[in-house]
Amino acid sequence: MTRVKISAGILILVVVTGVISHFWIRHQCGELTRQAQTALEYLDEDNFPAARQLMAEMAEDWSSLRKKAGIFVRENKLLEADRVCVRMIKLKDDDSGEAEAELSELTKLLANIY
Amino acid sequence: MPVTIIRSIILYILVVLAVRLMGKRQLGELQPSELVITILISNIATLPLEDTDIPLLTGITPILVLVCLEVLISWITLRFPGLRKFISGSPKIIVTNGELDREALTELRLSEADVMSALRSQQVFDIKDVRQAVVETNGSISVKTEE
Repeated sequence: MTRVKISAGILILVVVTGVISHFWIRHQCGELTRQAQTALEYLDEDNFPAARQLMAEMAEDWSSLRKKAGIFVRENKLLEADRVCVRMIKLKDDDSGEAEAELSELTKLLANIY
Repeated sequence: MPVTIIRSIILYILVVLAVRLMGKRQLGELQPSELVITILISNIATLPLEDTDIPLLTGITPILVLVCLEVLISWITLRFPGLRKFISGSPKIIVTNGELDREALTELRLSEADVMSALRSQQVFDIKDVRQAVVETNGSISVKTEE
């Protein structure tokens, strides 16, 4: 009977952890996606200072999320998003429009990250 | 390399604990569901070892789920014999008073040679000495001889 109780407890814990991690990562990625879309709108409006500040915040948020998400998400997916974020930061002061491509790419990656 | 070593140690400990949690049934003759679980666990455990991109928790989770399901289902089948019959099947008599039940053998896809081989492994060399032989749900054959 002890084994049965332990098994039931572990199963419940695994299910709860899985559900919580799923919704947490989706929520965090959703927030980043919204920020990316807002940054794209700023760039469309030629509001470059606001876009740059938002992209800098996004990079910090991603850096924070990445550490925790590493427990649940495949490393290669996180590395791809890392690369896009790094390029986005380099391009944020460049008004050539390449930052928009990186923001769009980041949005797609976040949609499929988990 | 150190990551692989640490992962290997963790997974080894986990699989040992998983087998302990499933209990002594796993170490004896395996029922069909138990055989499936054992094969699955051994395959799943190798995935995070081979691919370090896979988070360890993602590798551990299916093992834990399968083991816990197996323990819970085996407990439930104790309380519901009908479910046990559905999952594990029921024993089948193949020899009665020295006579082979050919219909049962056909159903089990066993040949007469298979039966004789199983009888010989139990020190029975003449089928006429067999009072009853039963194919158990784990595939083994139990024999009762004439006294």
